[in-house]
Amino acid sequence: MPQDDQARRPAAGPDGRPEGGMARQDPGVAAAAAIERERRAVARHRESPNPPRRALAGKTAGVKEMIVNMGPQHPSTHGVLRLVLRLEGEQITASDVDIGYLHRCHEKLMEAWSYHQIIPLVDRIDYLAAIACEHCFVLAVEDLLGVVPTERAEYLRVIAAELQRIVSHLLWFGTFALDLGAVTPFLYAFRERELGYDVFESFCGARLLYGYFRIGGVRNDFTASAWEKLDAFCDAIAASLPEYDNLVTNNPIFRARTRGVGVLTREQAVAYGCTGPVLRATGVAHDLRRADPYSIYDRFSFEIPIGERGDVFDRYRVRLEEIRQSVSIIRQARRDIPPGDVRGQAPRFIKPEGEVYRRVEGPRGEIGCYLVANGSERPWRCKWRGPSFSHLHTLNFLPRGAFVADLVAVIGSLDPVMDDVDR
Amino acid sequence: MGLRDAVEGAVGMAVRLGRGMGVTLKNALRPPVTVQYPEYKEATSEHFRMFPALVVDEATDKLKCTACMACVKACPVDCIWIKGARDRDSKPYPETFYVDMSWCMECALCVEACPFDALEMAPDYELAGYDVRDLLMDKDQLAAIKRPPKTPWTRRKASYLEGPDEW
Repeated sequence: MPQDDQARRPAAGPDGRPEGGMARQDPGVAAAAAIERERRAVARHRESPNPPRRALAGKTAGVKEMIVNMGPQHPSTHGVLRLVLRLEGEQITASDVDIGYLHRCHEKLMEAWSYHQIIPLVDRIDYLAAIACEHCFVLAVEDLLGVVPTERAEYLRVIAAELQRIVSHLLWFGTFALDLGAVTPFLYAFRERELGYDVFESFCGARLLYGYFRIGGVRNDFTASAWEKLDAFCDAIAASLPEYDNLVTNNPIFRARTRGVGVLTREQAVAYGCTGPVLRATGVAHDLRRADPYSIYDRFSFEIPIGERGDVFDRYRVRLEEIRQSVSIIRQARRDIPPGDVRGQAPRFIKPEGEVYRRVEGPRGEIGCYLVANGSERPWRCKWRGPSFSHLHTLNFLPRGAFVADLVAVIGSLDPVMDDVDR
Repeated sequence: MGLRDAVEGAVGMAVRLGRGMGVTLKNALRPPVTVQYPEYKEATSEHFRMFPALVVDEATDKLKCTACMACVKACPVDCIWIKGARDRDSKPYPETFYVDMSWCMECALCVEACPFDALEMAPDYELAGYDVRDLLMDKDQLAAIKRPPKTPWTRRKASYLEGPDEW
């Protein structure tokens, strides 16, 4: 090694690892460090309150521990989630979540785009709940500007948001059943989901990424055929939910796979910042539509479904019940919607100033937008809160003691969208 | 009692599994909802949008566009390129007007920004090709696209929604 290269290298610490800097490591040292990291991770997971589901101690006495990478190309990790599992036989003794494979610089991009241009951008943060993301951002900008959306636009927003919740839950229902090995419900759920996307297509022209909300209103009003499709969709969903119950909810195999698996206690859920169905499944009736009513949600009557045990099955049940409640909200909004303008009177060139945090109840949980505006036509900074990010943290301790097949059920029940995690 | 519980449990399990199979059977006898694309296609709905197309003024048979650049400024992904010029009556018109469809993200902000209604979202969705350069559409291509007449909802879906009772 040349002399000057030697001089540039940082001094080695007591364990032979360089102190600070990004200097290249000796492979042997790196391997030792990796083993040490693993050991600490295992020690951390030992403290997890989740007991092993079934005692395998006697049977795995001679089994060597194995470290397995699950993902990022695993079909049941719903995108690009990588889990490092430590297995003892088929049982998981420790798991580590590795994220960042879908980082798309959304927050930084927002600083380069104007407020109107950001609306189609936030669609892409949680692409399965685009309307909820738009709603959150639009509420934040409206707060800064002091703009109040028109009455009819508020109703259309609620209808769109609830429709989005149903469609998102349907996709989750199908893929969750698919994760557990049931292919049929997936096909049925996607059949109904297509009807939902037809409704979206007929009122805003796009099927997945809508760009429907505008500051002070929405893009356009519903046409007659959109209303017709919306009614047909609500009827179809209401009729197919009993079918799902017969097919999946009451299925003894499904129950055996989900009951008592991935139990999240109320304290853990609150401590890890879980929101949405994951939190409600633990018995906390916290729904932002009720706890911090935004838009016009205080005008509708709906129930907040909660679970008792906080296991995979409860999360499943809460989401399925939310579909019912959303259908009810859509029907109430459809009944009460007043005539009027939907575009609103917000100016085209806006230069808001100030700071604001707004949050909405998305299909996965609390979506938050912290917006700092400095009086220019672009935001100075926007911090986005995605519910999936908080939920994924629980994967550090939830699967401990479970089998690999149970882990698939646990991931599915958390319903993560990886772009919502990495942003 | 163990035997009785076991028998009851087995019967209950069989009943519940049977109900699930009943749902599958009912769906198996239902007409299919899939559309055999590309032989059959569904009509897109009236608001369906794919990419911006230029509108031709029927009275003068000229483009409505005046190359005011409002759409260029509104576009978040900078996929519109315009070079303005003036004709013999010194009226502004776009000498070149390109939309790069490989960048466009179908947000329709350009259509909303246009003060002359010279842009409309075209519903053509079959844009796949072998060369990405084919997706760069020029003025003539964009002006040649005609929006089909607005059609009511023609989806074939109704067949299985119109069942007598619960389906």
